[in-house]
Amino acid sequence: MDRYDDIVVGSGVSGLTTALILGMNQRRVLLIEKSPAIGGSLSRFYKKGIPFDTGFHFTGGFANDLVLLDMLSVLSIKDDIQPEFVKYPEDNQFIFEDQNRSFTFHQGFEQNKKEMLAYFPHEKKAINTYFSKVKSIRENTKAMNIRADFEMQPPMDEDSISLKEMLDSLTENKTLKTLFSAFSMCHGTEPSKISFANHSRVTYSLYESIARVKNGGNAFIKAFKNRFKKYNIDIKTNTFISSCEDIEKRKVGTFVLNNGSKLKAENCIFTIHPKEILKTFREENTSRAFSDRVNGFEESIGFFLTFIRNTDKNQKPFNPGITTLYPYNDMNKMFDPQLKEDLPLVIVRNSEKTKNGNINLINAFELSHWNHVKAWADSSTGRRSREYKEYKRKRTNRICKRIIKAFPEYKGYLEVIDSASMLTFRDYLNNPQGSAYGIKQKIGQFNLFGRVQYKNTFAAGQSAILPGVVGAMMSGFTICRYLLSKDVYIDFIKNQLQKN
Amino acid sequence: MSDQIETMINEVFEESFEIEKEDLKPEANIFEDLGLDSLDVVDLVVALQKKFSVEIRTDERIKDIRTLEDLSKFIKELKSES
Repeated sequence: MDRYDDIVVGSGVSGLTTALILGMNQRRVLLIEKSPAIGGSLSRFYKKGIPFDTGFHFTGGFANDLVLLDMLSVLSIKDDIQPEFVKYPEDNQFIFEDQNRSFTFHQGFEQNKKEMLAYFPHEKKAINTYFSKVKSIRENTKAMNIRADFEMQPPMDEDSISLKEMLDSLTENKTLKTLFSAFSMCHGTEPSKISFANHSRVTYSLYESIARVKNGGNAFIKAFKNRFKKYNIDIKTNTFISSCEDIEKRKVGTFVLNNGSKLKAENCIFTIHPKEILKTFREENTSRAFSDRVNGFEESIGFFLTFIRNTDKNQKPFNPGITTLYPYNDMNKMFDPQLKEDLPLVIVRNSEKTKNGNINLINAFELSHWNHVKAWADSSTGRRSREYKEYKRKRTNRICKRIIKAFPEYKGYLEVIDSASMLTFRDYLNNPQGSAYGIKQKIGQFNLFGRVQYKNTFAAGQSAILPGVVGAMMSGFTICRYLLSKDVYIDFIKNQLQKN
Repeated sequence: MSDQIETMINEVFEESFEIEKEDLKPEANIFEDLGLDSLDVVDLVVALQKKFSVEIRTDERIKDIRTLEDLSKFIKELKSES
């Protein structure tokens, strides 16, 4: 029977991070992935020779707030990941469709504050308070600074106040409130349900800088793969744990894979969706309390994604840019699953070098909920009904119309290459309902994080602490801090940061 | 009222952890007698929060709870505070 120190389940960015840190610390690691290739939603896909991003479109953390750069340095992959910054205010834009009003911002936390003050001169107090609170929460969250030597922190007061409550206490200006919560699309939980603290932890770095990455998520996958070779990390794709056997004293003795082979391991770290973890443990082997807890998690929002090429030959290469359209001036309303049309639409522009030269691309993603596609849940990729195809066609057309309204100069030049619904994401990413950020990060919730169910099984991933690339990677770092013991981990971080 | 709280706590142990009714005595130690593991604590807290609509998460007093009696005393205190 094969023996490993650690099995890491799931090869999204949190699984990749966890496996690499453990491997770099002389542990024998096996990384398993249910899909045919590693990378999860980092993977790009190609259509007509054009690369499109699946789940990783842009991130913060590359400038001023260095959380992401620090993590990449520790993993020695910093040079492989080239940020392409959003530079110009017209490329960082929020449009309120119902008021025909647009707001643009330069990059930088202080700059955002200054420009917000210029837009709303009568809201000085609200704006100053909001920005100083966001900053102080971010700075006081020690887990977000991997250089810090910290003990577990008790929750902050702002962990039990919702974003909505905080904004209501700051101002009555609806437009300002929507702007303050504008990045809710980047964590997938509405202002009435997410804590002000978690909102701040995610948005701070997005105020500081927004960047795409050259070659998208594939740059990460390639960099990790190279490192895995160096540390002899084994990878098995098309593989998952089908059962946990020989349980004694609450410890799993044998991990059985879907191909029937059996493995021994000191630890097994699950970086997959919490509901997929529950499935692996099998509900009949867990307490009702555990399964109720996991089944009680609510899925985050998802997206309906449209992949478009701008065919205008006179169009200059797109700078990396993001424009978000808000149909209503009320963020909570825009998260309502009953809304079927004109949901917030995020339009990401970039240009890609291909064999046929530079091409201008638009990834447009519109907020979506499971109930939009639930009717076709029993179908699988390539075998969907005519009604489903009609749903996709209509939604894609409406999205294009909204893009043209925001960018009249694109009229006649939008070539839709493909589109993806939450069902597509479900089926390609083994995610129970195709949500974009795993579960919602609700106030007072106990996420699956750290040791769960058995003494040698652990949970990490973007549902564990915070969503997105930064949150997912952080969950891997935090788990390794525990598995390697604090002293070993701190030395490792220090040495790596000095080296890189 | 107090009996009702004890009954509700017992229900949590019966329904959520499949523990036999006759084992649920006030002096029963949650870990040694009822067989819960430290791994079950978060699940227990979540189940109790739901059952009693209270916030237990950040309360320091939960660390001292050993028996079912301790637990019902704690819930009663919480209820009287709110």
